[in-house]
Amino acid sequence: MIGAHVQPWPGEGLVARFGGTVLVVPGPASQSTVELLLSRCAATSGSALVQELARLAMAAAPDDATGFGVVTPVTDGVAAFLTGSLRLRGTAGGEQHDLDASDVVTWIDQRLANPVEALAIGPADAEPPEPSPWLELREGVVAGAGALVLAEAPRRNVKALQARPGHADDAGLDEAAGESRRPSPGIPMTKEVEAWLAEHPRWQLVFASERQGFSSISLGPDADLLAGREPLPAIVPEPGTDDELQAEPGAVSVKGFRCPRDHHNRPGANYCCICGIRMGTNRTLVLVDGPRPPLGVLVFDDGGSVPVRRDLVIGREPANDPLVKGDEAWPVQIKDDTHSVSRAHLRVMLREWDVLVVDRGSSNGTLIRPGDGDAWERLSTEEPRLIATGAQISMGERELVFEQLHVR
Amino acid sequence: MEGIADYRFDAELGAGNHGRFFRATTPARLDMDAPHVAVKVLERRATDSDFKRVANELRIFAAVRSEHLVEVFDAGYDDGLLFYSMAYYPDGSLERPARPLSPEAVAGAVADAARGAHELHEVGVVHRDIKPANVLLDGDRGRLSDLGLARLMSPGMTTTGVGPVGSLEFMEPEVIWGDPGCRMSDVWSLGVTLHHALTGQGLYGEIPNDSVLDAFTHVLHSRPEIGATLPDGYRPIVERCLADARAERFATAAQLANAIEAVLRPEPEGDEE
Repeated sequence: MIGAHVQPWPGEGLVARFGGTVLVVPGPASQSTVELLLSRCAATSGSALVQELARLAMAAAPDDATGFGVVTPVTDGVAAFLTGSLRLRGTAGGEQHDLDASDVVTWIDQRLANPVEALAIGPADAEPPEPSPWLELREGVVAGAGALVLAEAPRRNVKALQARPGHADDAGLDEAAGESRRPSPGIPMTKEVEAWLAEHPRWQLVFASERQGFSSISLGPDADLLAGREPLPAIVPEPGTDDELQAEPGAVSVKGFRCPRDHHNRPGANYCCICGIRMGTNRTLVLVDGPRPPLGVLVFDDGGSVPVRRDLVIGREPANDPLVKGDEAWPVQIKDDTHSVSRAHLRVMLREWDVLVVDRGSSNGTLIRPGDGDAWERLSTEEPRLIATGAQISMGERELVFEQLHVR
Repeated sequence: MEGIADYRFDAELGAGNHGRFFRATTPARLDMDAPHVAVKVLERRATDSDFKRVANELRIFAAVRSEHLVEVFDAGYDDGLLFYSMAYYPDGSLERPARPLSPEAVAGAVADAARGAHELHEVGVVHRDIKPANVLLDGDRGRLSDLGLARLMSPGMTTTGVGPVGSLEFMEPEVIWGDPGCRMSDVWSLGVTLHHALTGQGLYGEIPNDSVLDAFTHVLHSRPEIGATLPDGYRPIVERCLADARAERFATAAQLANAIEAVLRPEPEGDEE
């Protein structure tokens, strides 16, 4: 059974409802096609209607290319029939659907299981509007670019229509059943919409009363979300396996010596860089490959700190640096309202066990003080310079210190 | 700041690490009876993908929903700023309680926060930012708030504790030095939180206050020392939270909560430690 509540989606075209069947013809279509569609949808429904629609679609004139969309009740659900540039988005049978007829050569004919929670049928290239608390199409034909089919009349707290399961990179966010958006992104303010709004003052109220341009997801208890999640591992109290600091996935492999607790260390170290234990047993004499541990921490004058485990580009807006874009370095963004720090100011490079810094062609340059008693020197833009623990670096108005564990 | 999205702020509750915290009138959209909600606005400009990472983390936090965690309502993105809303708890936090607290109430609130941390651990989440300001008071109970979300803002880069040195004091040294953290990291922070809330003191003595960098260096290279004013029953608990080797600490945050509650409500007969 189709959802009880149908709303037109403002725009050019026509929307019709006959009982449980909803028809959408968003663009210009020949008079004969519209007449045929309306009469067939009014006369029949279900799979019989779908068969007729298939015949119609096959015979459609070339100037009907914008196509049409129909949802009609069938056993245990609804059938969706989409041609031209029609697209259906929404939730039915507990699943997200995104059917786009512009992706196929002929048409889409698909059964969607009950319960039908929310469906938006309309032009493929436009975002569906937010459901209105006032609009409702119970029967008949009205103007509109598409239709919203809802299980029930919307309340103030409006639920999602914008889910697009095809966009997997959204990391599950779009699956959020509670996602809600304000109407502004959905409806471009065109002349047509303006004219339509003039005739429909209540919609104007929606625009005026809702703050635009933000999106939010509602948060709450969700057993499904937790179902597949594993608890954190318990630490097994066993000496010699204290390897957490080194277990960085994708860490670079370097040659070094193992401390008695099996931490990987630079050749020549007197004390383990992780646990501080004295190197000096037989094990430390064997040069082995191992994952490189973090080589230190950069501490900033505002209290921020960044572990040094990969090459870094530090600056006001480092994300656009070619090294960052090429994934050769991670960006470290620092705040500087005075703009004394350049967008990409300093590059930090890891070479085997060494940490080097080089000015990234900044406008104001970089100063370095290698140790406490030393003088400040200008950092080259050409030659990377080795730094040791306690090195101070000054970039415009900002300052940072490089710190290493267990070497002081 | 007057508001964000459809939240109108009527009071600033605090400015801490990574963001500001406001009280707002509850928008009609949330369909709730409570007149106020609390809204956290993250300071740093965020990208769309930042929002997705933060929102996913918050969804898990919210999905757990328990009496030991603050209740969060929504997370959003407005004009480049991330925000999320949660229940407004007028009793304040362990850092700034609205009224004086007895040592028992303090310890009980930390035990509740430890249970909250345990519930997060059981779904694979490390909190990473437990400190007195993040243990909110709800009547005579504590609720753990505020995941360490800022680290999610740039992939790969862990900015620990942007802001006052304060939060560094509560952070496990391994995490400061670049470790992603585990159950024991939160156990460490809970121990420091318990110590700080009971003694009013940190573990690193006099922290130089003339320069943030000096203060950092001091904390990074000092060993934590437990204050003499810590009530006796809690000393072994804090010591065990701060053990150098993770394996020697409480294996789970729930065990820590049990230990605190055993001090609060001793069994008449000799119970196991």
